[in-house]
Amino acid sequence: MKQLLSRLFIIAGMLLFSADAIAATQSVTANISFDTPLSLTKVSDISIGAVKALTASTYTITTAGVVTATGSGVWLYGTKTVGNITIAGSTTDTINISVGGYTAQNGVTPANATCAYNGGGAGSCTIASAVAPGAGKTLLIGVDAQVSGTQAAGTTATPTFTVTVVYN
Amino acid sequence: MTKKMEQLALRFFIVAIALLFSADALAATQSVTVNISFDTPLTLTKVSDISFGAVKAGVADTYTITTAGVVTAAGSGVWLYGTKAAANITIAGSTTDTVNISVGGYTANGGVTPANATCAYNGGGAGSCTIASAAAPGAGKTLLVGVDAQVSGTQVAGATAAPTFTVTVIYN
Repeated sequence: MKQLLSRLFIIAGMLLFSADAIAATQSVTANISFDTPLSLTKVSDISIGAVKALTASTYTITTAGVVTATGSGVWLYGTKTVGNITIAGSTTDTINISVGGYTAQNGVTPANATCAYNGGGAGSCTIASAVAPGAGKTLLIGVDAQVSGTQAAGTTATPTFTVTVVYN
Repeated sequence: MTKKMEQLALRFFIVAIALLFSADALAATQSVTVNISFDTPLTLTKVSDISFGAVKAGVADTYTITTAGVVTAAGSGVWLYGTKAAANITIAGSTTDTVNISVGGYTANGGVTPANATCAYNGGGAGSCTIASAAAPGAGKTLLVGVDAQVSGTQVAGATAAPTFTVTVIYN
């Protein structure tokens, strides 16, 4: 009888301590990092200058500010300026640049924008994993202006498009 | 044998019989069953920690990541970039015994305090991480964990923080 009680006591003791052993724990880490939001500051819009009225043509301004015309179009005078945007943000995270939202105005349709980022060569404005902008890097932008030929002398047109930059 | 000796022998016989029966009357027995069952210990295997990605530096706010990995900011905070991931823990153990899940031990780091963890166990909806009598984990069931990250606003760009908390699972 004494032995039986002793055994039961030992089993009860083991069960009591095993209650601790069946709990399982796992530490979870919530990783979070901090950085600077992207900002785009427009230094200048594009200016193609004055071109021949009533003539359908496509004028192209490069990221270096050179204007050329197709067909019978003629560049006449005025300031030639490329788009110039300063991109600032993270010093470590790369960015993706894209262009869209081409919107015609007064018979002039913008298309085929070209971009030169951070002193690089001109090319497509779809740029993946471009270098982190840090305190500020320059994006130069050229574009085609497809002119319908309906524009009379003395008129102006201000077509638009959108540059989008996101973190990678 | 004399008559006296015969009487003495008879008395010894009677006493011996009486002792024999009294032994039966005093002994009481009872069978005792010691029940014992066997099962698998609980294991928690972390598939992934929580990742908020990068958020706006120098801004005090509370960011919440849901068990589905969606990050929102309560105030003027902004999520910028990076991988968003809820914690994912595989719980394995008994195929029959239910489990109780709880969370605690919230520990701040780098000015970021974790709080209000949410849990989704075994494909169920998200809710409190205090879950009683959850389904037996068997070979493995998934616990997804979201949390609030209360950011002090003292963090500069390029800084990181790794606050922690503990998930505890016990058999019911």
